[in-house]
Amino acid sequence: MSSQSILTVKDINPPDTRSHSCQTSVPSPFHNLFKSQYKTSLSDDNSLSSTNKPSSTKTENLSSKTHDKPILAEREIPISHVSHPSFSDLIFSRSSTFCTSLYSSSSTSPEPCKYMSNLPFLPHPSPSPKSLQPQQKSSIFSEDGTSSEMAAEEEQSDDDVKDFLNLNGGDASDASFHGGNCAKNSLAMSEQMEFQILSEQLGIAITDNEESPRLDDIYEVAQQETSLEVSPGCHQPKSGAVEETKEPVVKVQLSTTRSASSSTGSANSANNKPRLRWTLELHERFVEAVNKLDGCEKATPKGVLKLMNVEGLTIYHVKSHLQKYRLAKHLPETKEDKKASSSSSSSSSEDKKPLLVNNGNDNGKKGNLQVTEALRMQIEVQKQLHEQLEIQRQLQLRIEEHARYLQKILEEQQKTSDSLASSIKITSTPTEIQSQSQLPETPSQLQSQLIEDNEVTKVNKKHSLGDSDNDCELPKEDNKRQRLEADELNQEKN
Amino acid sequence: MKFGKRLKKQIDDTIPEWKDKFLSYKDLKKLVRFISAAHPSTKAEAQFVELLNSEIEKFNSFFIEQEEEFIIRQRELQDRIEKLGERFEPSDAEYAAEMAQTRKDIVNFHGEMVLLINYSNVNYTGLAKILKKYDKRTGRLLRLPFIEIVLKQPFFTTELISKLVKKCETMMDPIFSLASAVEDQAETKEMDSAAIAEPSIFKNTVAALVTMQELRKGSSTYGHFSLPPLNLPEFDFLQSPSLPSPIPIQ
Repeated sequence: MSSQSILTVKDINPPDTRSHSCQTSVPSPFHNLFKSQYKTSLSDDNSLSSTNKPSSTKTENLSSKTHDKPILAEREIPISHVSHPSFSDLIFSRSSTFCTSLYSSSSTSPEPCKYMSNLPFLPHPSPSPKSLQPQQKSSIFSEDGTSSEMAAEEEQSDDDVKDFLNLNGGDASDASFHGGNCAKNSLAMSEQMEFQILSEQLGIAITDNEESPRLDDIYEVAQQETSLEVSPGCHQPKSGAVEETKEPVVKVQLSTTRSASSSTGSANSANNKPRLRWTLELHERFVEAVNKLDGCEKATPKGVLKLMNVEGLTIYHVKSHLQKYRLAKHLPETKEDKKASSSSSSSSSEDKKPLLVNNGNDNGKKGNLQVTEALRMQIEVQKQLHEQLEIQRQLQLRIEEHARYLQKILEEQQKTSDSLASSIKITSTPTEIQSQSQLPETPSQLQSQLIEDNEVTKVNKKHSLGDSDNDCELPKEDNKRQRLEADELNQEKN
Repeated sequence: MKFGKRLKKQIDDTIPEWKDKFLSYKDLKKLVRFISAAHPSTKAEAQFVELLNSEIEKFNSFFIEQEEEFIIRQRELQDRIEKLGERFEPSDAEYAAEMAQTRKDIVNFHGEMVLLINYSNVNYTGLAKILKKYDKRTGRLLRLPFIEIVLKQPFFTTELISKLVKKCETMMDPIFSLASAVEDQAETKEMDSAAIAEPSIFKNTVAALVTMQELRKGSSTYGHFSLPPLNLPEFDFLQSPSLPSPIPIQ
């Protein structure tokens, strides 16, 4: 399967840029998610800038993304080296609209590349429910129809898209989604996270009921993943769950130049509103649109939505945002009015902050010095808290990483000792034992200790939190691979 | 129960509208206790997970809403500050008043954002603890994979808010440096409660810091996966009697 995929990928590498870019745009909604998760080297602002500009960071992103991707990384190593360069060349030769129409997200270079390489390596899908396929088809083709650019090159691109989608071994139009579904369908606990990432990336098209099916689909999938994979004992049929829930959590990415937005997905909820995570850039666009429409009072949600021209943004998003915006605008105005009439503020102050402060006029008399000093002190405290929170968060992340790693080691070691025991019984050759007990890429020191001591905890104690950096620097692919194996072992045991 | 008590205290001190948005730590703990240790059924686990999921959903929606509002407010504050320079002459009385108000607003805003990050952190900590308890009780291995999912949730990915906080701090610098110039002429009077911009925010901030320090000071379960002790610089108010519990600063 994978070899077949490899060939197909290579075949496709040469140019239809459009098809490639379409495919590659899929992961973009989730770029931020993974970015934050995997702490890529990209900064938030810069990483997803300008879909139309191939940037030097692209390849950097590619490598970092490849590096970050768990299961896929290990399987796609041969291809990734092959495909990335060509993909990165191809990616931004097309406008983003086509891509966004297909996948309801902006196409930004890193994700597409990553996606491209990831797609062929999805685990072979178990047969997905038939009921999903028509929906998928409709969503795909409806999107195809919306793009005018698509129409021009439909013939060729269709074939290419189909070819490309065939990489996953699924039906022509369904392949990518298929793969995504299959990603969702993966049952092993050990692979949950990786596949969750996959499915999120793919942004499966599931529903046909939402206003913006594309985006909603993506988030529905992500949502499903989160909720379903959480329960270890329950292997709910993902497809069924997917069909049931129509409450996507939406993450919008800007369709054109601005850098993309943020992460998605929450646990399964009874919430019917599509949830959008606003970003600075998105808000910037919003403000621009509102200003063009003569202010927040006169601007209508529909008008703003049109002006913003962001794929996947619904009128509900704009409506609620506009409401909040108006509220925020009015509060300072009412404050000024109050000052003018020199009445103390109460009801008109912001909901969340009951201001005890007298109006500005009084303050002018009362001792600005003390006030400012007190404010300074407050700021200091707040800054301190912020700093500590950041540090704490980093530590927590590292602790979890460390825990993951140790779990792997533990399970590897168990596996080793099991196989050791069995091989002793069978009186296997020494080489067999060695190969089984070998943990490539683990620090050899740790390795020898494990085998000798047979106690992981002792090893742990030698590593304080400060040393966890060493552990974290291990190649992530191998970490993940070991974790996979360990989790599988764990699954068996459980 | 220590964490539970501290959490409760934080909730009491927090911004009123936020009070019901925190983790229902007590309820979750009860649930874990009721789950039989001998026969942890998948049904019980599913129920537990469902509760956790709904909590996470609660965090996420609240967090995303707040984030959106902060984005809007930050922009507005920025515009306001820019306009402030244009509208008034620096010597204007009204200017001083506006300035003072703006300063307060910025500090409040900054505080609220930091408190949101704290909210996120506190809830995460609670989740991690409850998962640990669950694993301990049932012998299952729910914690590790579940926490992976939690790490990716919107409420825990606070990068944007952090960024806003830093932006806010950058915005504040010119405001406060200007302030010192104006103050020289101001008459000094007694400092009153109006001096602190927003008592509940300030109080919550201090409480949060104190709680963090206490939580990390060491416990019976302190181990290699616990966070190291927190060292805060000397703050007078942290030792002032008005605070609920005097904390020895290390």
